Amino acid sequence: MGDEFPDTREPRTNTSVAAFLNAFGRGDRDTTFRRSDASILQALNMLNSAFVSSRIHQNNQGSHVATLLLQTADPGVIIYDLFATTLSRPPSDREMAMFLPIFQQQGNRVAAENLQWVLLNKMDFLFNY
Amino acid sequence: MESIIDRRVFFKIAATGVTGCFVSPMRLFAQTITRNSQARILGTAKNCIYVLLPGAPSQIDTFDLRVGSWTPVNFAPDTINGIDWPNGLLPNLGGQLSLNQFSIIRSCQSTALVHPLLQNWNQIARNPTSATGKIAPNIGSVVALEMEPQRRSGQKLPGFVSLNGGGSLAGPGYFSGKYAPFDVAPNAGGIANLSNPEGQAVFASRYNMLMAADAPLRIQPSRFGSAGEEMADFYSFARTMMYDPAITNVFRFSTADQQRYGNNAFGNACVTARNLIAADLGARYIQISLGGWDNHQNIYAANAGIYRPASQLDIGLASLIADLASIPGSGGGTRLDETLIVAKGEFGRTVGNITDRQGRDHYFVHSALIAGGGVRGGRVLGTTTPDAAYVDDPGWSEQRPVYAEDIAATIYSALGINYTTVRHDDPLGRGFEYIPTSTGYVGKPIEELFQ
Repeated sequence: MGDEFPDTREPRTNTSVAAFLNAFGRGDRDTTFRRSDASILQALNMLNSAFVSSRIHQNNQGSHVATLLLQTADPGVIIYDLFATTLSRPPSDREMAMFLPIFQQQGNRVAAENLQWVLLNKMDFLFNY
Repeated sequence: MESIIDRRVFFKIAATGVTGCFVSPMRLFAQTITRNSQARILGTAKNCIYVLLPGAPSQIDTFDLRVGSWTPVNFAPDTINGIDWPNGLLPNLGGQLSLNQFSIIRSCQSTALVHPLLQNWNQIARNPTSATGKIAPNIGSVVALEMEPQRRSGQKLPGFVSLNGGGSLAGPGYFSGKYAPFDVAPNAGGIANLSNPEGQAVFASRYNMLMAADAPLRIQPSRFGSAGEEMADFYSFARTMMYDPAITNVFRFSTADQQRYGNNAFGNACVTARNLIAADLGARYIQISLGGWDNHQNIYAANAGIYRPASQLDIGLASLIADLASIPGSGGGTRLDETLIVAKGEFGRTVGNITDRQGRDHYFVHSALIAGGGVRGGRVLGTTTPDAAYVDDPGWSEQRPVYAEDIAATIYSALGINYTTVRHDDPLGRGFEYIPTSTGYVGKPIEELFQ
């Protein structure tokens, strides 16, 4: 395309990212307008897309979970940090009480990955950010 | 938290003071749906497959054949059931035509010659720049909404499925995201995101954690308003679609089928459309896109130009029609009998000899293919002048060319939807007409196709 504006079909080489952005109604700035409403396809993407899961894996270098697990082994600190970085707020007492036992049961790595997934699919993440 | 008046609630309350005098009547009005109960509704079809051909196919090389010095020898012009046909270019569709499986409308006309504008126009059945153009849903979203009360238990698919929608796909307009096109790019292995990359067990455990953590937010009424309630619904809907063999399999197909349908993206969409119709899982309107028709240059270049999209259309659509005709329907006939199929471009291309760039440019007269769903096959509706430059005989009761709004009215009527419906729940408060009436012409069902 050279000297034209970036095409709204970009990134064409990464079809999973392009499909993800399309599902969220980015439109084409021409006749298909950008949309902000939800859909079933969006829910399926948030639940299962590699675009989301690659941001969760501990073994994915550079993912926040990976960095965090190198810094601390304290479940309370991990929970606080994931809430703060994802939702920009501390966990409530109820939430802390809900997730601490899960870290005991599942171990830090699995529990941190699970919690990060839950936070990215939480209603307050979907609507506030 | 609950006792705090947040920003949204504050503005709601504050706005009541300023605009309260008209807010409440609007609310009452918002429930109203009006329609002409005298309108004749065909009700001959259960489903619709709309094949949009963005780029605009050359009608005189396909459905309204004109043979001239420009015609390549390998077009092998023929006459099938009295209809001139490029049997070299479209041999498989020619075979279906000889079986009377579809008809052709040759009196289609477009109101402008701009691709995105008319692609959108064809999908929303009105001028996109008109007052309701910005909020108008795709025809498929209207169908999905109208068909929703007919949904049976176990029918887990959205009412409107789009295959290879691409950038030209029109969305649900002001309708709920529930009626948005469920747009996927089919391939033999199925579609993404119906299963989780971490496996079913991990997913189930995470989903349970999510529901537990989110319980205070996924209730009705939602703190996030109706959008929050919808989002919670979409998660439930998505969850029921996952790990369901019926849903997973409907998007899969065999290598043999893939080959038979042409082994390309359009063929994959056609075989998936067949599966969707055969499985009857709640998808009632399927839109498929096949581009590549904008042949301004080198239209007759071997294995390129019009040959590439025409070959894909020929193999994919002919296989779809043939397969639907061989699958028993729910009411005694075949799936083809209960599924209306429309295939058309947003406009046509210039007629006569090709341009100095060996192509054809945009033109307003064009043709459409229409099949199944009660349409009588093997016929041509409307004629163009001998040079194909103008509509000669429109071929139907309105005595004017067929516009996108007429195609939409025909789809609605065939599906048993009253095309005169006006919903007074639109955000503009103007009333959303399924077929607009404040235009120079008013769209009408083409009943001649069904007689």
